[in-house]
Amino acid sequence: MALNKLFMQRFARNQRTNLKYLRLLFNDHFIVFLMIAIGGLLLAYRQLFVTQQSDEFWYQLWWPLFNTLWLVIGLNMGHLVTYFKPADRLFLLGSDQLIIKKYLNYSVILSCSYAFLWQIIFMATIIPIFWQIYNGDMTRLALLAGFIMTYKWLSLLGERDSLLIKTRQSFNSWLMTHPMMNISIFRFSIPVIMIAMILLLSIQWLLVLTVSWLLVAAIMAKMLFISQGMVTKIGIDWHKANLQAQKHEQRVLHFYAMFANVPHQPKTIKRRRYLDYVVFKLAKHRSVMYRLYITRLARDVEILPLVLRLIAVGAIMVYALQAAPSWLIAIVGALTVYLVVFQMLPLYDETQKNMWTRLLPIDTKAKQKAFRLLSGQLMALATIIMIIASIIHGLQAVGMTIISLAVIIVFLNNIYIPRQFSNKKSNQK
Amino acid sequence: MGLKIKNLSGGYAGNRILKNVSFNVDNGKIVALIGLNGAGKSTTMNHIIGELQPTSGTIVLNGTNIVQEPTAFKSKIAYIPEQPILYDELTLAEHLHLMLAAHGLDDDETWENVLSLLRRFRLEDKLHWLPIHFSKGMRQKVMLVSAFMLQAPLLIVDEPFLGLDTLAQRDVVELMRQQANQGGSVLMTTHLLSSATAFVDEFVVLRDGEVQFIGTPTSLADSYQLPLAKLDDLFDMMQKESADGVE
Repeated sequence: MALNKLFMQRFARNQRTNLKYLRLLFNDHFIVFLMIAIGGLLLAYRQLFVTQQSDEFWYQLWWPLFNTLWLVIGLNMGHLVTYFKPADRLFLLGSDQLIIKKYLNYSVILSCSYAFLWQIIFMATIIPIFWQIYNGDMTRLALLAGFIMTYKWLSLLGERDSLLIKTRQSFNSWLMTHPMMNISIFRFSIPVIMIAMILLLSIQWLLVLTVSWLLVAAIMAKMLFISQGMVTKIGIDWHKANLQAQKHEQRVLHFYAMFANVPHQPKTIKRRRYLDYVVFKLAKHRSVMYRLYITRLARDVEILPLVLRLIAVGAIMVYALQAAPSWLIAIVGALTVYLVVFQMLPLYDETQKNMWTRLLPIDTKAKQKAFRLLSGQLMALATIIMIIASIIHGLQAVGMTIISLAVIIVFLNNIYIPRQFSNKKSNQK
Repeated sequence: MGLKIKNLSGGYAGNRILKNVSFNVDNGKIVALIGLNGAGKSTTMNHIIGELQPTSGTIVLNGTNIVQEPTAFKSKIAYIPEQPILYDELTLAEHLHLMLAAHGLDDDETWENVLSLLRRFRLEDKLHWLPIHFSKGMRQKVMLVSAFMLQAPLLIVDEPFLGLDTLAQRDVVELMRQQANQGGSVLMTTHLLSSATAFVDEFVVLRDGEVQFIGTPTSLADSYQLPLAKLDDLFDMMQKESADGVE
């Protein structure tokens, strides 16, 4: 296989995998949730502009602060995509020069495309606010876009550089050994200062800033450029390259896993000693299987944070839907409880897949009963929070929320969860 | 009594690998299941631990049939797989407590025995470690402790010495012998025939999913006209026979 085609082949294969995951992601219930969530957010965002605001409202300092932080979050989206595999260390050993010149070149181009798309999305979302504050100041907008795109491009070149073994790499190695400094300087401080200056400085100072930035960017680009002569003197740090590729893959899978059950996802855990007492108290006098599920849940890095985030987002949405009809509030509450249960199901599935579980002399009914108890407790927690969040909208909204939650709990307990159990059983066969 | 396998046929997803396999593992005996790769050893093991459903035949342990009473059957076995399987989220102590509780054993009564096993495998100071911090050998030792502490009527061991240091290998042999001496039975697979002759009571030779030979190490050596110390050469002879058969 020609090495210069390898990246494109991996890209194509990855797109097929992504499509598969997207099909998992855009299942019926997620589409409904997405439509309601985006609809609610757009409604609230629109409300900001159609409501008559005082002149000072748009000139408060927290608007540039919000815009700056928003754009910095955007700048942290889109990393270097290399598609390196652990076996490359062995099979591509000795082809470093070709990989650096061809493979990594494609990698930077593709990563830039993805990263620029993220930046456009993040910028586009704040343009209405920008318009209100700066009365259509196109120069400032162009400078902002120019800075963001060049900074992202340089960051990606920097990421590529960090995967290389160079003879002169003192600064790079210092950054590697001080990851927090790397994050605070390059991912936070520099973009915050630059974006804040673009948003706050007068147009004359902006010209000075632009010239200075162009100069710095040119020097950085020169430093990060890999010339034909240089390519023979550098190599790939395969350990770092594989680690970076794995981290990236995990980030992507983690995103999909937020809404869909992603198969073959590498598993990581967090000890969370502070939860040991809670687990001990809850599992005391409960069955072995309950103890197993709750311990796994407490130390899981995917399901527990996701369930808690879902409950928090659901509660915020229920609370924030000020002008919305009561039925919409009730539906958001019910959907949140549904999604909590949906996210919990992989815990059951993964536990059954472990051979240790299958060897335990415990029958399937007892295993299912313990899981239903745990999911029931989480449903109860979500239900209480949704009802509390809906109190602000009045008695009618609370009443409708309680009814919809009761309906969804009956549905989940009596139809949905038993059906999922039997589906898993038939899949195992 | 003990494990009785009669006319067992089965395999994976309609692929019939085992053909009328029959053998016994009597109480007080250590039986080694041997054969070349693909002979059906793992398939047999998977049927005995309930991972696969037989298409025909019976598996009965001390009067309990695996198909009719799977939970009761599983409560009578302890299994040590070739590749250690652990929950990433559970500490060593939590694994052991879980296994004891699932088998209805009282922590207070059994813990002293558990601690002595942990000391034997040099794991006593690692009770609160998560599997992520264990080496492959240590993970295998966790499997050994969790199986031996149960003192189950049947111990099933898939390649017991894989990834273990020599001290642990010696301990495993001692513990298996102890299990058999106390009236339990042991079924194991191995490729190390010469070393196994020292402690195995009976060999069951599997070939292409069928039982080819059942007997003591001496009778196995005799039937292939090999000295006991050279029993490892058996695999070469079987391989040669297979090749001749194909031709």
